[in-house]
Amino acid sequence: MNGSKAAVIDGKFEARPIARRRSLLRMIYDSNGFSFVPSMVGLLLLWEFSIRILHVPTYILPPPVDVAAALAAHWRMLLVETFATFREIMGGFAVATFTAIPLALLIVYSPTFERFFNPLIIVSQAVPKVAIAPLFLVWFGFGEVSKMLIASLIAFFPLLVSATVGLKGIDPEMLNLARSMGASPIRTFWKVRLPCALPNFFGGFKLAITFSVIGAVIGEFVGGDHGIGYLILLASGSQRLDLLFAGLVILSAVGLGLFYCVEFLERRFVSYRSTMSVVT
Amino acid sequence: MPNEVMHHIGVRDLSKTFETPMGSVEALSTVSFDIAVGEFVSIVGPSGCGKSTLLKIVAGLLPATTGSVTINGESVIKPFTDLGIVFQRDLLLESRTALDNVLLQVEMRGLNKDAYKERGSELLERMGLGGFIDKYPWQLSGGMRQRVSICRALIHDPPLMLMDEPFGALDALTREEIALDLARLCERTKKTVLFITHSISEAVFLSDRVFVMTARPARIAKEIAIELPRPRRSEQQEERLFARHTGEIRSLLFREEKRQERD
Repeated sequence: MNGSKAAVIDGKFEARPIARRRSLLRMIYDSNGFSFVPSMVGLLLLWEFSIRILHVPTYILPPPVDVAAALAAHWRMLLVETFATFREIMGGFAVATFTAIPLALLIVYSPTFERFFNPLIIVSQAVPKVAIAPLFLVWFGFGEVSKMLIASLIAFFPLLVSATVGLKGIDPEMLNLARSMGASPIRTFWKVRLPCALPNFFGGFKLAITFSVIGAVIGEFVGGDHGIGYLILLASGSQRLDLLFAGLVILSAVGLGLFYCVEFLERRFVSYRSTMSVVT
Repeated sequence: MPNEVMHHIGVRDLSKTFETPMGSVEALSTVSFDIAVGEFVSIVGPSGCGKSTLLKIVAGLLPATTGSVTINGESVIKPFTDLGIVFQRDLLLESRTALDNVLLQVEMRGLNKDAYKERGSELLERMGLGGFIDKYPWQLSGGMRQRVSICRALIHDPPLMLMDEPFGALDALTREEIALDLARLCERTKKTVLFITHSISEAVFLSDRVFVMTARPARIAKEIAIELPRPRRSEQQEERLFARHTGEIRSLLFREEKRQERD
């Protein structure tokens, strides 16, 4: 049996959809091979040494070492603020998802709804959303709720557009096939329409999660007393640029992490041609 | 009454006019024919003449403007479901393996999926896809994908198959291979088949009768009974009878193409 071990492993490798069995780390490794690590280290070194050589004052640009020190010194406070912003981001993303997806379904399944409400939705997007943020503070208070709603307002539209495009983009012949199989519209939705639209849904989720981060920070800028956005505002006012950069580092890390989480889910639920096409 | 049972599909004075912003376009005009149980009928015609429209009307996927379609003596007014359809594009779901794509038919009909798994694998094996049952569509070639879609149309063992240029997107050799597989399968299972193609030799090779359509608006220009004995073999394509049939159809089609160009 030992002799055929290699063949068995080979066979398993062949039969198993590799894309589905990946861990998050493995996925990040596969997508860019951690090639950002050397370039990142290089950038940090360049930053550190050019500040020392050119004698840039730390209230203009702090060296990375100072930023790291700020992160280490204030980690407890930073963690609390990060969680506040994180809650706003996730809340905003959730609200956007639970409004955009049902609306996309209404638009796709009801031509009447589309005719009357689509122009309204598009017009609403012409209003600069950042300008609406102060209004939300008046309506929903200075707490996390108003930030969540600002985040969801910004994340909503790209998600709606992606989901609508995905659901509408189905091959009409595919729907004919479904009808000839005698399937109900609900079954057709779950078995055919949704799976076909899933890649677009995830495209929308990726945009929405990124936009939610932006929205939450905008909300904190406009008014409030919590979160990394608020911290950045305070730090800039008191010329604590080490703290400001610490905030930026945290926001980037949160944004990147969430983006990869969505991508991870995408690879679990969407069978990808692109993930394997390099191999075959 | 016995006469009616013999006819699987009856098409009477069928016409179809599409209303477009540029005015109305007559796609079909007074098409009538019968197809017997277990008969293999091909339809050939100039491109864009309305062959696909005819197939969709027969399947109940498109309403006729005038005329009627009956299947098993009952008129078709909504999508007819006791059939299997193969379209030109394979319409496989990228998220499903070959077997799961075949089983979509079963799931959509609300049948027990597990009960059909074995039959699904068997069908795929018989179609030469034994080693590809768990592969995803992007791991298959165009010919393999279309074979999967044929298996999907067969899994529930329908008495009727409608095929709309199923091999149109394939290369010549693959095409011939699948056609041979299909001929064997239909001879064994005695299915009624309505097959649309623009390959003349494919039509002659597979069919009991070939309908040659006119240019738009399409009517049946001529109906040709193919006298080649069954079971069909590849070598029959070298025979004189085969050449006579294809020759006749070709000259009819050329005439129609010319007429279409004049109009």
